[in-house]
Amino acid sequence: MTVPVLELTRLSKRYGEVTAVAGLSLKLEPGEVVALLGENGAGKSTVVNMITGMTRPDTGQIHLQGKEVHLDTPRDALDRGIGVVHQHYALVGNFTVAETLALGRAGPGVLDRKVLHADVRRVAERIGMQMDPAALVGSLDVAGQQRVEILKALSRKVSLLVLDEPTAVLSPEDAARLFDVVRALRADGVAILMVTHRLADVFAVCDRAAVMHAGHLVCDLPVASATKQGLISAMISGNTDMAQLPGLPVQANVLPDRPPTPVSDTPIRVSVRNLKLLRANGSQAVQGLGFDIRAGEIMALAGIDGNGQSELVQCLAGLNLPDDGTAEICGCRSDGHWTPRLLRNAGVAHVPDDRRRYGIISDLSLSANMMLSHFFSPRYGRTVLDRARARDDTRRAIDEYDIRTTGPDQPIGRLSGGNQQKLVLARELLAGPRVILAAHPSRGLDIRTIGAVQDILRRQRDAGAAILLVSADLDEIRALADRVVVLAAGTAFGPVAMADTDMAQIGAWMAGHA
Amino acid sequence: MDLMLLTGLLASGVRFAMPLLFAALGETVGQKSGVLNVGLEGIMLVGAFLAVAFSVATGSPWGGLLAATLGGAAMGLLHGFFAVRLKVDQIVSGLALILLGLGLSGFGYRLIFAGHQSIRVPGFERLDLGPLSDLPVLGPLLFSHHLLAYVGIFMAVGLWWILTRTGLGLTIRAVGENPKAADSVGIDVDKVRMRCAAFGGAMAGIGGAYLSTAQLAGFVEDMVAGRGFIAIACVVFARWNPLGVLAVALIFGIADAGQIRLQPFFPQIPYQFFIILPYVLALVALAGSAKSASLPAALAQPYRKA
Ligand SMILES: Nc1ncnc2c1ncn2[C@@H]1O[C@H](COP(=O)(O)OP(=O)(O)OP(=O)(O)O)[C@@H](O)[C@H]1O
Ligand SMILES: [Mg+2]
Repeated sequence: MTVPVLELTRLSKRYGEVTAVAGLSLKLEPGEVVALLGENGAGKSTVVNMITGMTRPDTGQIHLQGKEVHLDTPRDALDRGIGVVHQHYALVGNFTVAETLALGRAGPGVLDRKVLHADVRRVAERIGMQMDPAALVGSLDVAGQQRVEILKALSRKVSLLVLDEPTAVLSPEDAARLFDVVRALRADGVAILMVTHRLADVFAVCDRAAVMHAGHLVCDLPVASATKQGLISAMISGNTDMAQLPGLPVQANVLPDRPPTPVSDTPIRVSVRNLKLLRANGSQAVQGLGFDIRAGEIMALAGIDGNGQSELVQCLAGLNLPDDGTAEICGCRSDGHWTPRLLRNAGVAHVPDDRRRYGIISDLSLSANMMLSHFFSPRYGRTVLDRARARDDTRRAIDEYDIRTTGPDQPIGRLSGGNQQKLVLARELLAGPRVILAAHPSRGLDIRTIGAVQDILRRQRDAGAAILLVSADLDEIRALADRVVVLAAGTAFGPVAMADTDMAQIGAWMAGHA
Repeated sequence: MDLMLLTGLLASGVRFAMPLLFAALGETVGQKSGVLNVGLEGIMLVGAFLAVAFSVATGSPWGGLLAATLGGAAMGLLHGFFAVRLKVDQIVSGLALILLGLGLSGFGYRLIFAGHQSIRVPGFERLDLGPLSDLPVLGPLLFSHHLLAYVGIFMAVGLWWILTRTGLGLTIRAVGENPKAADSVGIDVDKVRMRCAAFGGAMAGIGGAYLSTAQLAGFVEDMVAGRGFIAIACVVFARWNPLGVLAVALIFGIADAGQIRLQPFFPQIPYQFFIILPYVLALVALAGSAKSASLPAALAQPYRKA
């Protein structure tokens, strides 16, 4: 009989009145890959934090290899062979890969680059990964940075690897590569706990699926005997009766393929001509891009992260000026006045991709965050802020989007990632925007909420909004887009109508093949 | 300008640069770890005062230097306690240090030396390398400074090497760039920052000591006269590189020495115009390097665990 690598016994954690995790017990055997599923705010990240020494459980025990441990700091967890890749990477952009791996492991003395580089190659080889030890971490794309995080975890002896939503930011190809790494580790006897919102991940690499609902573990079963519907049911309703489907309004896992409806007679709301954008470091992000978006259509901007999407959205939101070419939105032109305030007044809503940097202010309450985008509109008063109205709007958003919070006055940083995203969406769509720049609107959201968000975007489109949807998720693009333009390695493919292309073509473009 | 004049200018430029160099090197390390200390001015004042008081008391400038170093480190730790441990706004804490330093040094000086007509401060001896120091041009320029000046130059090189080539440097840079990354591999962010803050304070103390016991001989209230701020400008202008700090401090030192020498040539211009020259230079330098990629990303941001 093997000793479990990790055994959690009746772990509980409360934050004020919120019970984030309630009496959760879970076991991981060596070489086992376990998926941890659950809706936004179910408590998954809290479990991860307790296992990795970021937060302490209120009650319950953690056993590692049969011995009880107290993990008070990340160091305790590391020293005991627990590696983790958090949802938000913790990397130093101007370090090389080798320096990143040396941090915290090398002594204070002289660094021997040769030894460090050999170290990187050795760890990478073990799991069949390619990595240049001298590459600057900041120059890698998201997938590359994730690989660095994994190498960082593996550069110590680990018996347990915890991955928090690892596939949320990856293209299908990169996700497949990640799964290869997971399989290699499993063969090595490493136990893996993987938090995810994607059921496809579960069936691709996991051995067991554990589902949380409102802090409780509601089911824990081998993947072989799980069904998609059953898992969704357990997540949404906490219902462990696998046969029964809940009567909830959205079945988001089966997104209907909507016949794309090209519009040609409505006014053009967004128009981009021969656009060139440079990155902060001077390299070229976008070149020669041109497209129009009319009222009442959704244009998907497909492509893997880091191919100029953020730069384009920031430019259209008024945060950057084009380095060449022009953009025009609702009568504002980039060669004239081009500021976020002006564009917001013209009816532009912006759901940023880097939520924590551009979307929210963590220390402020939900209702204060609600006001951020409407600061210069008369909605909350011109001189004295109408806090009562903001609180009302927030309360309505909480109901409508099912945001898990203690109320409009809670600091938004206390919410789970997905619930923060819901508030951002609610805020941006509040005033009936004419143009919506939505960068990965459903990233980090659970299945049910994704369905709800997609419904909302469709309704906004039907009400006449022009929508730019940045996404790397082919399913989402298929479900929503009327037309698509793909950005890959500085070049643009399209735009084409969804009816004139297929997923294989879009996938190939995303990979950079014409 | 003849050669003698130029040599004299450069040699005194080196002397004028030293207080800046020490303070700026300490601040570089502090800022690299994410701790901004705008209170260098106050620490330098306390250092200058302690150096005078303890040189007189012990009869040796080294006693004064030791006291200034320890006093500076204590003030650096105080800043660390507020800014790093208690997460008080770093600017506010730094400003408090300036006021504290002004008050402490002025009050202490009057307390100890009130009534004394003239005190003799034992100064640092200049290095005498015999024939080397007697060389024309090179002698006064390279081989006739106080020992402390050579220590400063050596430290610039040493700190550069430590920051770029060692594990310690890696740790300091990580803490200042992305404290979360450092924390996630088990580095105690606040501890590293506290130590860097203390080091920065000690170096500013040495800078002050140099001013009062090597460059000048004696203490005058508010004698640092803005050098603490110029030192901060040096750090920014040098893009947080200790070797750059050495170069920039020398430029400021020479500018300072130069303005003094220029004054007699232009008696019709009010001398204040010359005095502000180094400060103008600092302003121009700062304006020119406003947006720099080498700015430590987490500078002045307290680290709170999730
Ligand atoms: N530091 C905190 N202070 C107060 N409440 C918190 C804190 N961290 C988490 N919570 C609450 O605990 C609950 C569980 O949050 P957690 O982040 O674990 O959810 P999650 O399952 O990871 O969700 P998501 O899929 O959105 O990331 C949420 O209701 C959240 O508001
Ligand atoms: Mg989470």
